[in-house]
Amino acid sequence: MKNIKGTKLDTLEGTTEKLGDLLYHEGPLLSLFVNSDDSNSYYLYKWTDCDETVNRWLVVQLSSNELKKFFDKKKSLRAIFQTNPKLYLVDIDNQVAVKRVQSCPATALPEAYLPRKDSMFVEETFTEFADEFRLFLTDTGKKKVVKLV
Amino acid sequence: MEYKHQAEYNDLSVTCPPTDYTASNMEPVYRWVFGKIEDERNFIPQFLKNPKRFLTEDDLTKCKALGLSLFNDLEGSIERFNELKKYIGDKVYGTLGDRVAIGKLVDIEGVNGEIERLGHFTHHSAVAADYTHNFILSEKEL
Repeated sequence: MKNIKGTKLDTLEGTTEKLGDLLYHEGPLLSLFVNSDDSNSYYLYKWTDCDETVNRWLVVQLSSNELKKFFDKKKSLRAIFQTNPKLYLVDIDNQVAVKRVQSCPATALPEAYLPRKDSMFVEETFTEFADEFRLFLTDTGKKKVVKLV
Repeated sequence: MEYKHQAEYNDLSVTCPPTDYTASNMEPVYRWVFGKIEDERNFIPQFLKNPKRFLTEDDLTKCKALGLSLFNDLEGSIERFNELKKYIGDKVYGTLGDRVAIGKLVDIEGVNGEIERLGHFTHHSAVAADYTHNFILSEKEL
């Protein structure tokens, strides 16, 4: 697994709670978390790499407005990761324990860690949870995100 | 049916495999694999891989990840792989595989969920399952 030059952190900002998987194949590939202390602060976890001991996840912290841009097909997943300054690499082991967190700019990432340029949202590719969450984002009267996992 | 991962099922609070899964003979079926059929990663459920690709551990997710993903449609399986590669990037080969294997499932080898989009279905293995003899690499690369 590639050694990335980032800034080592003790943990991500805030306590996070998993809301659901947006892409799934025999386990999560792209998952959505929310900051337990700030319901407008979300985290996307994208599987990115692995070695014999950990899976590495590329994590971006973003607002509901930014998420909505993705679901509205105004911004690709690649652009979400490339343009957001709050970008992290998180290594998680077989006991689902966080072993390492580092913040890193998108420019420090290998091309293979990023989604492709044509990574715009396509409904049928994503999970049922993704569709429900997309509808939630368009429902301005709804106050609470329902945990679906 | 005696299941290969019964010990793990026993630890779950949900019924696993789900009660609507059924045993049947299916041919051809397709699975994404790594390099050679004999690669030990090819027919191990995600939940039992080391390290497993997990972010949380609830019992429904564990049950799902104790099954194997297969397809009954070759072109569908390749389309699904390319869909995921678009969002995950070129490293995706490292967790999903790099070749398509073609084979058959015999009813004594386990139970299968319903066929989903692009021919995908989940299979839970019986003790009698012998995939390395029933699958070969297809000529299709992912």
